[in-house]
Amino acid sequence: MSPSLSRSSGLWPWLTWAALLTLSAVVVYAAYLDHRIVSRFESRRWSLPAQVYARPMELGVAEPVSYKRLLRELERAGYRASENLRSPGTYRSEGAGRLSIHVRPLSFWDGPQPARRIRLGFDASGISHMETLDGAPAPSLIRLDPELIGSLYGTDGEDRVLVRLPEVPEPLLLGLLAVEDRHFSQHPGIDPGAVLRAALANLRAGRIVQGGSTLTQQLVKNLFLDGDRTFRRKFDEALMALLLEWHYDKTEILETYLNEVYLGQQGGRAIHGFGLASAYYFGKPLGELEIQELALLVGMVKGPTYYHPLRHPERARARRDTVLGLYAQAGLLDDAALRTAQARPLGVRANLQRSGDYGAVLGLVRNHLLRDYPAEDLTAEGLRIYTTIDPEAQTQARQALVRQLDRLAQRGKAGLQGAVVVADVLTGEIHAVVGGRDDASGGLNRVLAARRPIGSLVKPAVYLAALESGAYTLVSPLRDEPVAVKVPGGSVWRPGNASGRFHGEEPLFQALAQSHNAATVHLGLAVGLPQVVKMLKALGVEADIPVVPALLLGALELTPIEVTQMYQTVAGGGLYTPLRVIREVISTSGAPPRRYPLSMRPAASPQSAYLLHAALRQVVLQGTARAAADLPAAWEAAGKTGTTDDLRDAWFAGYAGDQLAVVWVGRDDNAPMGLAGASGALPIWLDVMRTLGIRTIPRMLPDGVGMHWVDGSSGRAAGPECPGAIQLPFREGTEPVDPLPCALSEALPEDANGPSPVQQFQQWWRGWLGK
Amino acid sequence: MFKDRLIAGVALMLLSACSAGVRLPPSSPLPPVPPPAPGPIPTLPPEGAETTRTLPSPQRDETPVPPLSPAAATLLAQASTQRDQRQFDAAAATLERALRLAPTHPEPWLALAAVRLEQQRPEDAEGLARRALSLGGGVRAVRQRAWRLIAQARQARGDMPGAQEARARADRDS
Repeated sequence: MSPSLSRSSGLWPWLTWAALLTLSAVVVYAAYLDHRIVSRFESRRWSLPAQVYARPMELGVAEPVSYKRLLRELERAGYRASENLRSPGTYRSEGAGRLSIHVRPLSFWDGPQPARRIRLGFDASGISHMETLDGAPAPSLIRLDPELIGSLYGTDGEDRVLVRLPEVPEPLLLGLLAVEDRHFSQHPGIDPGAVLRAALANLRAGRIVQGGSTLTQQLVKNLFLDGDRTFRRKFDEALMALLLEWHYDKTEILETYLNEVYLGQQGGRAIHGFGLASAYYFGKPLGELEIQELALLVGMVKGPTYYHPLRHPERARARRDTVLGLYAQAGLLDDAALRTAQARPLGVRANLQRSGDYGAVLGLVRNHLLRDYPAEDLTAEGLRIYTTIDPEAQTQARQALVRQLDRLAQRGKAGLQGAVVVADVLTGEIHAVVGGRDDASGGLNRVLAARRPIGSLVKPAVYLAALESGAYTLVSPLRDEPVAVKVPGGSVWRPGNASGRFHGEEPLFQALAQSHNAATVHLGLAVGLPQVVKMLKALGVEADIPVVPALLLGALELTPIEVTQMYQTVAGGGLYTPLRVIREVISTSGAPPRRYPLSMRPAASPQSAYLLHAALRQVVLQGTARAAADLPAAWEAAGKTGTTDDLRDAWFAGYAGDQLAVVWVGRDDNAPMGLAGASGALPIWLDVMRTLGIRTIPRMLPDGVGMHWVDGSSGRAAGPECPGAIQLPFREGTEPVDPLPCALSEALPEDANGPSPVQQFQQWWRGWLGK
Repeated sequence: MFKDRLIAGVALMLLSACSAGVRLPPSSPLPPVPPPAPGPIPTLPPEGAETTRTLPSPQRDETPVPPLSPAAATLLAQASTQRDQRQFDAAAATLERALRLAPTHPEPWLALAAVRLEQQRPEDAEGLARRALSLGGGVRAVRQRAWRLIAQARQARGDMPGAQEARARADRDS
């Protein structure tokens, strides 16, 4: 053996071993990182929160859609005006009530609807004409893609709208590569040259002005690493970038990057990827962005907070114009186009920071879906959810609530909150859910979770149970007299009336119209508590119902949504129809769409339901809600006020034509507010009803029911010529036969400025008794 | 130098367009739409009857039902085809779409009630037929069809006396 060999035999094995050990440690570590990368990439690259849409508007001849209404709808869905209508998502107003639209493609349960160009004409009743501009025969009906109203992201706050590489506009990719990673096509995941250049630039500037990270490294950082800037993390980042490039090709990495990159924050919601950023900042799909809008998004990658277009518009604009300059250098824009683009405003939606418009809607949607889908599917599987929400009704309902709460605040009733639910009388579809002035703070709870006593809103169930028993008509005499009920525990319950007085004997419909407590308790006890409970359940109340006498006056706590369900059945003529907020769910994984079909079952006989409708109509015409009496008669407005102890809750639940609305007003701390149903909630309901487009619905008399003239105060038979006579429905053979001589009633004043019907009634009553 | 890089970027994009299916959007996907032709747009007679109809005092005698809008009529025809092909879920979905367009017309309610019978959902069928009666019970043909559907629904639920009663009610209008 040579000396050198013998010497190396002493040191080399150690060195070899050390090298081998280090190498295997690196290999093992790399294998560990590799496993992390592959498993993350293969299993699910992104969590894709379910996207929630409003209902699609249907366009067809004779549909009651006005020109202005359609323009608002187009604006909500992010359509923009364009002279040539070249790309989907554009429209052209042609004056004289004519409108051409390039409708975007969309997919529904019955298959895809391709992009189409149509021209519409309007007249006073809606769309009067529809033709296609592509030479194809005009379809009778076209769906307009609806507004995206939000997404169901998880607790991690990650929200995203997936885009595929082929859908990404060229200038976006170009700009991104030019600005963030010029050697993306060549480097193996890291770009030493870029690091060096960045280091030099930083050295020259004396601070960090440039980063040398490749897109791959940025992606790794986003996907796998936390934010601390340690050497270990830099090492991991580089190693993982190399591994990522080794496993996947450039297009996969680029596509992942486009969907992962962080582009902003809205409260607890993180805006990830260009697809969502486009929807969030501009309200339209990525493919429809104009070049200066794409440039802004590209520029924002460097710092979404620093370059936020609303908070720092000058910075954002300068950054955008820099990117536009790069486009010009690359020959993508000529000088004129560059000047035009740089002259354009940022074009970001003005209401970016407002998150609350659909908060309660999204909560309701989530609650409904959780019955059928695991929670993780909602936040990760990219479901597309088409709701029943009408953005117009939603906006009107919120504005009405805010307007009326402001009005109450001016009168010294500050700190009030409210909730409004609007639903379709015939189909049970929910059109609007408003959980407060701003749904961002507690709106969800007010509508869905906060159970409040419903007070007199319970009464229709009592009266319906009585009418259904067959022992009562609308004019059956009820005793509004003191009542004492022994309750368990030995105490005695003595309910009184809001007015503090009792009204003696009165016809059944008057006791409901004037919301007299004592008469209702007498009636409810005679009918039987179990019958009332049964009726409440039939009407759709699923909450626990306490079987106590106080139930008869509303010792029942329900949420506004639950109240809406109960009144849906009442408004729908005794047909229970489960409320629906979701029409269908489309899965991106190719699973068949899930539909939520309309269903209904009889809850009360059509006869009793019709009689109750007539009584609730009297509530509006001359009872506690007569502030609504001047609504158009054809709407047949009907409803019930509700007020709870010490004026803590004010309710109104009512319907007019095809719209049902429930309004709750109160304080979040449940303190008394000094408002009753008629003063607190009814004005909001009226405001909502006047702004909704209401369609009248025929209500035919059911079999075996006839209309008869009765005296409105006594309920005795009368002729149409008698003052104070009203028409009420009766089951055949139950109508009153003992006629009231009109002479008796003629003594009553009947001009509009005279006493209220209640006073008339009292005057007459006293006169009749000879007092 | 920067320009070179940018060109390299463009080259990559074109390259990836070929290799990985990146489809660059054609510069003009559709020809521009010609400006609107002069002259009034032809209009169909408005469907005012349906929106102005009021029923302050409901009548039991023969009251005509307003015509369906063309779109709703098309959907009803489509649903009828789907029903003939025994695609009941599709037919029901089509009818619900028709219902939303013409919610006050008895026809889509009757058609949906019939489909619900085929779908073995007699409770729904009876409810829907009752709705048709409430909307269009002034028309003899509507009454007759609705009561027949109610009879079938009750029979399907095993309510024989109820079915008999409904059938008798239907026969009164025949």
